Parts: sequence; C-alpha cells; structure tokens
Amino acid sequence: MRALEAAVWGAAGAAGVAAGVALAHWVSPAHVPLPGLGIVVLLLVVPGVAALIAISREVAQLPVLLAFDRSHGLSDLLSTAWALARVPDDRRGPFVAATLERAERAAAGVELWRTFPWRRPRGLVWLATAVVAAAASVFGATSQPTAAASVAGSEASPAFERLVSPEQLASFRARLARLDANTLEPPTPARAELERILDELGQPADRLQVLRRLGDLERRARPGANRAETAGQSTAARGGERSSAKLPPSATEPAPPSEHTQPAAAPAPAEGAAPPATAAAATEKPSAPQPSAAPAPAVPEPQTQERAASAEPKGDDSPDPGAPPPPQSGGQSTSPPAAKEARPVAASASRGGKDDNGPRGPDLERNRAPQNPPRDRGENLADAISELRDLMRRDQSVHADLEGSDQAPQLPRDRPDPKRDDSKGNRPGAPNAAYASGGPPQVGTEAGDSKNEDLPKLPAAATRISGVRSDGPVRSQVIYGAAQRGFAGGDYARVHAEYEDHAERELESESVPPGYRGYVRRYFEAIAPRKTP
Amino acid sequence: MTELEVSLKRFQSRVDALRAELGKRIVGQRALIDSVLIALLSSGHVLLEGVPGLGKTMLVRSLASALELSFSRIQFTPDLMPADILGTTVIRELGTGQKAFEFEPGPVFANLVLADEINRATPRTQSALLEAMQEHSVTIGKSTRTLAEPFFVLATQNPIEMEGTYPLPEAQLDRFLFKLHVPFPSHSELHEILERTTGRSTPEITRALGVSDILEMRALVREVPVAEHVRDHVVTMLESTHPGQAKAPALVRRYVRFGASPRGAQACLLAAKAHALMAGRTHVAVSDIRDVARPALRHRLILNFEGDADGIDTDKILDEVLAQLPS
Repeated sequence: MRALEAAVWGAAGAAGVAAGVALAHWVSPAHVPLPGLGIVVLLLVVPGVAALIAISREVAQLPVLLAFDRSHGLSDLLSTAWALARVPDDRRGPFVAATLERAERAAAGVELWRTFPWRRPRGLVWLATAVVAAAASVFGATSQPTAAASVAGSEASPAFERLVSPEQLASFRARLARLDANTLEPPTPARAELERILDELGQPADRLQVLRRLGDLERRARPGANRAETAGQSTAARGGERSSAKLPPSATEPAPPSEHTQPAAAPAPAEGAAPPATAAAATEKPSAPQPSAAPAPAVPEPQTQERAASAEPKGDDSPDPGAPPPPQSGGQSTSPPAAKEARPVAASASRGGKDDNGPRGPDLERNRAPQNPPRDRGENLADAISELRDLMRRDQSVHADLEGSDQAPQLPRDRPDPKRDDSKGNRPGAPNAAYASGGPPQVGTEAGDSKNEDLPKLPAAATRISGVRSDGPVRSQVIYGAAQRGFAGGDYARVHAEYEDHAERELESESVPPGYRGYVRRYFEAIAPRKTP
Repeated sequence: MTELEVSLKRFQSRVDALRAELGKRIVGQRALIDSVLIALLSSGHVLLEGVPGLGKTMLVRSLASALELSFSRIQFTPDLMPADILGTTVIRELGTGQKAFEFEPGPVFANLVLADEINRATPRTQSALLEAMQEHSVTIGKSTRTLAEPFFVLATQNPIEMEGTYPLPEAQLDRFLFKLHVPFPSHSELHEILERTTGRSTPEITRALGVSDILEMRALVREVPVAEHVRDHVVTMLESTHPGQAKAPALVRRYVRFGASPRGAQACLLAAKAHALMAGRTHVAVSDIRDVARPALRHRLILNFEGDADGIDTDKILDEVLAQLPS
C-alpha cells in the first residue's frame, strides 16, 4: 500500500513537472523545446521509482506499533508488549506476562486498513489538480506545434505574426535590389543574412527574435558606429531642425502666405520607373521661393498650406548645387495649377522627403544620384536594416489595413485617418499628417474651409496639413504624440536628448547601482528617436 | 483466572468501594477523589489548595473515616512549634516514686495526618514534617522513631489569604506527590451539598479499607511494568520543564527559573502506575503519564521574577510542555 501511495504521489509530481514544461513551451516555444517523449518517460518512470523506494525502505517497528495503538485505542498495549517482550523470561513477572497475553489477544483484532487508511492526495482538489496537470501535459505534448511548424503553418500561435505586409516586403526588396545594383562592392555576409531574414518575414515570425537579429545585423553592418556617433548624428539632425524652426518667416516662407496645394505621395512607384527622388526634389524645390508663383499678401497671417505627406524635404538631399537653397521648413508656395503640374514630382519628393517614420526609399536610392559620393555598402545596408526595423515597429492596426489594401505601403502617419473629424481640417481620405512633427494635430484657421472643396482629389498618400505660427507643441504634447505615433520627429528628438542627458548625469552623480544603470540606458535606447539619415 | 487477574479485580473493587464511601459525603469532585486515591496508593502525600469552604477538610476527614487508619489533625498556626507536631519528651512520675523521661508522640504519629492550613505555620514548624514525609521517620534528640505505615499526609492551604502566612519552601513542596486544586462545585453539586448537609441526618461512612488492604494495593502498584518509550516520555517531559534545555518550550524559557526535580519524574511514573491499575490495565501508557503530569509537576516548577510578576500559572506552562510532546 505504501508503494501504491508513493506511486500516486510520484505520478502527481511528474504530472506537475510535465505540465510546467508544457506551459513554458506554450508560452515561448522558441526557447523551451517540448520533450514529448521525455514527458511520457517522466510520467511512467517517476511513479515506478517512487514505489520501489517505498517498498525497499525499512520501517521502524515502534512507530508502527504506536500507530496501531492509537488507531485501535489500545493505550500503548502493543508498543509496551513489544518493549516488554525483550525482557528475559526469568525476569518476567506476572504483570509482564499478563501484558504480553493481552497484547497477543489485541493484536488478533488489529485491522491494517484502520491504522493506515487510504489517503487520497490532499483531498479531491489536489487529486483533480494532478489530473488536470496530467491532461495539460498530454495535451501540450500532442497538440502544441513546434516553433518551426508554427512558422510554417497557416495558423500562427500568439507568439508569431506576420510582421511586414507582402507589399511592404516587396517594395523593400525592390529598393534593396536597386541598391545592390548601384553598388560595386561584393555582397557581404550581412547582406546574405538580411536576405534570409527577408525570406522569414514572408511568413509569420517571432517579432522579438527578428528585431533582435536585425539589431545585431545592423551593428555588424555599421562598423565603427557607436553610441556617441549616433548621438552626434541625432544632435546634428536636431540642430538642423531647430535651426530651421527658428528661421524668420522671410526665409522659411518666402512665398506669400496663401493656401498652397501640393500633391504629395503617389502610390508606390513602379520598380525602375520612378525618377530618382533627388531629381524630383531638385525639380520641385526651385519653384518654392519664386514669389511670382502666387501673390503675397501685405501682412503675414496664419496661413494654411498643403504639402507632401513626408513634410519638408531633407536638406542634405539637395541634388543640384546650383539650385537655390530650398526652404527648410514650411511648404513650397505654389498655386493650385502649379501644384497640379508638380504632382508627380511632389510624389517623388514625398518619398524622398524627411519623414522619420516613413519608408526611406530615397535613403536607399540616393546613391543613384551621380552627384552624391558613393557610400559604404555596409552603411547602406545598415540604413536598409534600420528601415526594415521601422517597418516592423508599426502599429498593428495600420499594419492590418495595409495587408488588405491595394495601395502601396505607406507610413501610418501618411495613411488617411477616416475617424478624424472633417471639421478639424481633415477630410475623409486625407492623411493625418498633423502628427508628422511629433505633436498633436494643429487646427488651422481655415481648416475645412469651403475653398478646399475645389481642390483636386489627391491620392490617398497626399497630405493636407494646416499650419499655424506658434512656438510649437509643448513638451507634453510632444511626448504624447511620440507615444501615440512613434518615436520620431524633431521635437521628440530634442526632448529625448534632454531627458537622456539628464539621465546620464544622474547616473554618474547618484548612487545608482551599477547593475541597474544598464536598465536605464536600455530604456532610453528603446525610446530613442528614429535615426534620420 | 490467574492470580494477577484476581488481584486486579480486588484492587478495582476496593477502589470502587472507597469512592462510594467518599461519595456519601463529598458531592462530585470525582477527579479530586481519584487523585487523592492515586496519591494514597502511590505512597505519596497531597497538598490540597483551595478557598475556604470547598470541603478540603471534609474530604480528608471522610477519607480517614473510610479507611481503618489512625487519624490526626494538626491545625497549623503561627505559634505552632515543631514539638507540637513531632512530640516531646516529658517527665513522668513512675509508680515507684521515681521520675523518668518519656517520649510523648505528637500528632504526626498517625497513619493519616491532616495538616490544615499548613502555610500558616512558620517555616521551622513546616520543616518538622520534612523527615516524616520523606523518610517516614522522626528524629527527636538522639533517637529516631519510625512512623507507622501507611503514612499519608494531606495538607491544605488557602491561596488567597496571604497575610500572616508562610509559603511553603521548595524543599517542603517537593515532598508532596500531588498538589491538587479543589474546584468550586457546579450548580447541581451545590444543590446536592445543601440537600445532604442541611437535613436531619448526616450520611455515615463505613470503613472500606484496612491497613493491610492499602499496603497490598501499594505493592501491586509498584509491580506495574513500564515500557522504555513510556519512560522516555517521562524523562523528556521532565527535561522540557528546564529552561536551559533545548527542547524547552518558549514559555518555560521565559518564566521558569528551575524545572522539576527528578523526584517529579518519580512521582509521575509512580502515579501513572496507580492510574493504570485503577483503569484496569497491567501496563503504563503514555496517556497515564499525561493525566498525572499536572498535579505531579505543577508545584515543582519554580517561576522567575517575571513569571511571578505576570501571575503565570504553572499549569499553563505544563500545557505547553505537554503540547509539544508526542501523545
């Protein structure tokens, strides 16, 4: 009976262990392999071993006799008789003999099951728990697909998902192919690894694992790049944005304040057919400062303007050295007819425009501009990987929309926001570009004006923004916008830099345990603004 | 039926007869009566403690009436002298006209001695009983006189009237096998007491046991065998009353200055034998030990200052000692 009881307890323990393994595998199949056969062996061997141990273990007699006495109400008769039985016969008195005789009579009526009744494992609750654990382990061993099967199967587990839409992936591959075509250097192992990751991204994959691999790959592809360098780039980018934001109206907005319409991002250009973004920007930018494009009002006033979804063009993308310097902020002032004419050009410009969250096709293609010096292949590859990571970090709802849409992949902020109220200056189908700067939407003074009705129907990727002259969003708005729409934008980069500097100072001055400093730094790296090229 | 079984039946019938005789005057108090009988059969002495009017003296007088023993009562007072208890030598005039010293035995020379309100006498007088209780002999001058067997002392004391009293020294307390608390009778028992004591006639007690009967029963008690694990239980229990022992419970460590003496273990085991025989068993069980542990040990624990200040009852400490031992 001891063996049976030990076997039951052993089985319950083994079932608990098996259920734990199955649960860990279910939570993270990539990290915890499921030993299906091992669980079966565990469930069979452990009870047997427990039973053998119970059988082979020697039991002391006195405790057993005391248990008999207690269970049968014998007042220590059997245990006393067992002790008195060792007294030599010549020393036994009448009391010892009588005690032994009484014990002999009492032992005849002893019932084993009364002393050692069957004890169920801690009641029915524990027994039911053991049964459920065993069932869970069997279920986990038989029904849970492995990591590879989960990736290959049509029904992905919660840990796997399709991270990049097929359209985005195809577009990215196309740009990557063009990048390869323009590079004379031989392919690197990092490039081959990126190709493998792209193949895996065609199927549902572990998001965290892929991001980690991409991060490692980016670091490998960007030799010499370190944190200070990245910080320097970010600072330079921030400095550029801030300087542009502080430009006087005459410099930033050379065009007369009036409504300007500028068609922006068109559907994704066909591979090889789209003109270079830099060329498009070069075509567009000279027209911006021409005062003859529209009559300028005498007094500058709050104005609305339309521009490409990707906001302002990048300063370092100026293709033509002889061309006049493009405005660094604000939009180009063009009349509606001029905007219609410039639509395809602006579409290219929007792709090449500075948008921290948008696809960075021009980043990859800028080497095609003959006037740009050839970049290092590793650097280009690192930029491509960074872009791919940005794609994967997008909002899942937008991501789902993209998968079911025929449109070319666009950044979430370039997507029209059908939920937005039209009275706020956003038409249905118009992109929600107010967050492009990282802040909440700014309501234009003439937003929703009837004059917008006769505007040409822009493609879905076109952006209409309403600009107001102000000091910009406050810090809380910047942080709120970054949390809602992604860690991008010049304002956010500035706030992040301040916070990170403050954190670094505190880490150096305060008594923060060394083991925890890494967590703080990792946090700020995680919320770092997206790197601008 | 063996001779032992006959002896056991006779033992139990005598005990039952004695209970019945005592029950004629003592209402209820079954545990108290049994404890007194156990002490009597274990060759021990009893210290009865209780407030006045609970029947302590009545119990002793009833027991003396039920037993065919010589009985003497000593009322302890502060001016009581040892000679008043033990006896003294007096000059007696002989018939020839000569005078000679002659020993006049004191009240201690009896089979059953009632030391009423023993804590009212001075320690010197109290100590006069030390030799008599332990050695069953009295030494006066250069001569030692043996007391007649059975020698059984029942002392009473009042726990609430502390003014003008002399608490018994530890050595004196250790001589008592049991210290028994006389409980207050229940509601129905009070009715019965009033019924019996306020009527026209008082119940008469007949003698149930003689000297030989008691001595025979005492000899039978000492023959009861004790198994080793039962004896080990007694030893472990005794060790647990000492604060320096590792197995002592927290209450002992905090409030006890000195634990029970080995005489306490002897008292436990001897009383357990009588308890087992009264229950009809030929061996001592652990339950016998636990039943007699409190009356046998409660007066042998010496509390420290903190225990006295907190008014700790030694029964509470013994409860914790027994609780940690396997039953």
